[in-house]
Amino acid sequence: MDAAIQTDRLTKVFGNRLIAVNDMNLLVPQGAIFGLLGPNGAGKTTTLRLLLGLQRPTAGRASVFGRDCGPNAVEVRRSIGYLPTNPQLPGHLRPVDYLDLVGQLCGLPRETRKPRIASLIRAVGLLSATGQKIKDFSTGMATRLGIAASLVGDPPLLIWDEPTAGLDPAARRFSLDLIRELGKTRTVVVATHILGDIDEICDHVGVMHEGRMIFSGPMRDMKRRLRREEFTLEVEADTAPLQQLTGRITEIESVAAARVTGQTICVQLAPGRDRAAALSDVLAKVSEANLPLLAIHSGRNETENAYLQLLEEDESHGFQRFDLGESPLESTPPPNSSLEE
Amino acid sequence: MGMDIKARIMPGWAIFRHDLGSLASSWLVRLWLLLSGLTTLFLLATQWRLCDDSTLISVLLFPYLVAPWFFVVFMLGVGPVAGARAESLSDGILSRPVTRYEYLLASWAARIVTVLGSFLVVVVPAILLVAFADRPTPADPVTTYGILAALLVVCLVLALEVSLAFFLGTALRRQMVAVALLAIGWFISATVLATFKLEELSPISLNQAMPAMLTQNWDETAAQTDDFVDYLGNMGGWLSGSSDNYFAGNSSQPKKDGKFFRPEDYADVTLWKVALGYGIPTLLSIGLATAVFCRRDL
Repeated sequence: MDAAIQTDRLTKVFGNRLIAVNDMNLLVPQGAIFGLLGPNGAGKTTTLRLLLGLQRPTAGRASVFGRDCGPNAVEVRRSIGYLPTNPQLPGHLRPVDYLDLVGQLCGLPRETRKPRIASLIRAVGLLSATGQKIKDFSTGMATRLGIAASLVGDPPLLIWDEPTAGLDPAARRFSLDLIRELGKTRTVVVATHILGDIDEICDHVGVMHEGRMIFSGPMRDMKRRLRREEFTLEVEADTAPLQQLTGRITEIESVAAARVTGQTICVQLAPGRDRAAALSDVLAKVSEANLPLLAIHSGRNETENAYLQLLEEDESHGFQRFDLGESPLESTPPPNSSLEE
Repeated sequence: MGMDIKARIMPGWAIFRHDLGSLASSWLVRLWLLLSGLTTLFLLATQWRLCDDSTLISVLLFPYLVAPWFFVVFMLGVGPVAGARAESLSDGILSRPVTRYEYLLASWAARIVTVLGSFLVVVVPAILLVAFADRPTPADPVTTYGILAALLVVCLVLALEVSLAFFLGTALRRQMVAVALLAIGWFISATVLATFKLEELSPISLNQAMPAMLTQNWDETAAQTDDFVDYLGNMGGWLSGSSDNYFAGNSSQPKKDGKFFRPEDYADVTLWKVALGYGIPTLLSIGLATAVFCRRDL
C-alpha cells in the first residue's frame, strides 16, 4: 500500500530542553482515515507542524506522497489541507474574502476559485453568515470556516488538528460526518485526544505517548489488544436482593468474581471461558431473580481500554523503551565504511 | 506563459494585498494619519508667516525625520510574525503553498507601502500648498528637484526604519521588546551620528540639511554625479591603501579635499550619498530578516 505520510526517525527537540517528538516512525496509508491519538503534550501537533514545514526537524525526515517536507516545500503543502486547533482567522475579513485569499494562496485561477468557494460556503453551512465579519463568529463557525479553507485547494490529504475541540454536540456531529464523507475520496489525518471521535470515524490509528509512536496500525488490531474480561449489569433493586443475586452469579462456573457497587453488579469472567455462554448464564440468573435489568455495559469503551492499556504498557517498559538497536559490537563498521552508510 | 507567471506571483500578491488591507484597517494607521495630519496643519498655521519656503518644508518633514513618528513607523514595521496572534495568523498563511520568501517580502512590501503612502498623502499636499501659495515671506528658490529629492530622502529614512523594525521583530519575536530596543537605539545613534557630523546617516543632520537640498536644481545633479565618481575613486583608493597598509604597510590615499563634510552650509549632503547611507542598511536588514525567518521554527 502506498504511503501518504511517512516519517523516518523523526525527532524534534526545542532548545535542548523539550523533546516534543522522539525518534518517531509513522506510516499513514493512502486513502486511510488515520487517527493520531495521544494525551495532551504527546507531540501530535508538533508532528503535524513538522509535516507542514512550519517547524524543522532536529533529526530524521518526513515525506508526504514521497516528497520531503520542509519550510519551502510548496508542493507538499499544496497536497495538504490543514485545519489547526481553534483556527485563528483574520477577524476583519468576511468568510468569502478569507476563502478567496486562501484560494489565491493556493494559486487557483478566478474561474476555479469562485464557484468552489460558493459551494464550500454552502457545504459547511455558513451561507447565512457571509455578511458577518469573522471576528463575530462563534468557535463552531470559525471551525467550519477553517474546514472550508482546508478544502479550497481540493488537496488529496487533509490534516485536521482537534477538529471537534470546543464544539457543541451538533457541530461535533457535523465535523465527524464530514470526515467520514471526505475519507471516501482522500486521506484524512485527525489528531485528537477524544477517543470517541477516533472510535467512530477512523480505520487506522497511531498512538503517541511522550513524543513516541507506541502503536500504529489498523483500528481492529488495536482493539484486538483489549482485555475484555468484565462487564457490568445495571439492575433496579434494593441492596439485599442485589447482594443475593450477586451471590448466585458468583456460583456460575465461568464467572471468576462479582461485586456490587451501588445499583450495578460488576462481573469478572474466568480466563479462557466463552464470553457469550457466560453472559447467557448471568442473564438467566437475573431473570430468575425477577429483577428489572436496566442496562449491560461491556466494561469501558473498547478503544479507551485499548488506549489506556497501551499507555500503561509503555510506562511499564521503562528503560526498555530506549531503542538499543543492534549491539555496538555487532554493528562495528568495517574499516572502509562511512558513518553516513 | 502569461498564465504561468500570473499563477506564480498570485500567492505573494495575495499576501501583499491582505497585509495592506489589515494595516489600512488598523487603529494605529488611522490614528497616525489623523495625528500627522493635525500636526502638519499645526506647523503650517504657526510657521506660515515666519519661515521661508525651504525652512517651512523642512519643519514639516521634522516629525518624520527626527521625532516622534519614528516610533509609529517602528510599530508598523515590526514583523508579521512577532507576537502570539500574529504567529497564529502567519501559520494560517504559511501552511498553504507559499514559500517563506514570498511571505516575508510581500509583508515587508505592504509595510513599506503603508508607511510611505501615509507620509506622502499628508505631506505632499502641504508642500504643494507651501510652494504655490502667495505667502507674506520673502520668496526663496525651492526647486522641483529639491522637493522631489527631499521627499525621496525622507522615504529612504522611513524605509530603513521599517526594515530595521521588520528585522528585529522577526529575530526577537516580541513586538514590544523590538519596538523599545529600536526606539532607544535609533534615538542614541541619531544623536551620536549628528554629533560626529555623519550627515548621510543621521536623520537630525539630514533635517538640518533640508533647506539647502530644497534649493538645489537639476543642473547640480550632474556635478553630484561627477562627485560620486570621484567618491568611488577615493573609496577605491582608500580600500587599496588600507589593504596595502594591512599587507605591506603603505600609507593610505589622502582625501580629495581633505574634508569629508562642510557643516556650515550642508552642501555635501547629496542624494546618492543618502541613498547609499540608508539603502545599504535597508537591504541588509531585509536580507538578515529573510535569513533569520527561513532558518527558524514558527
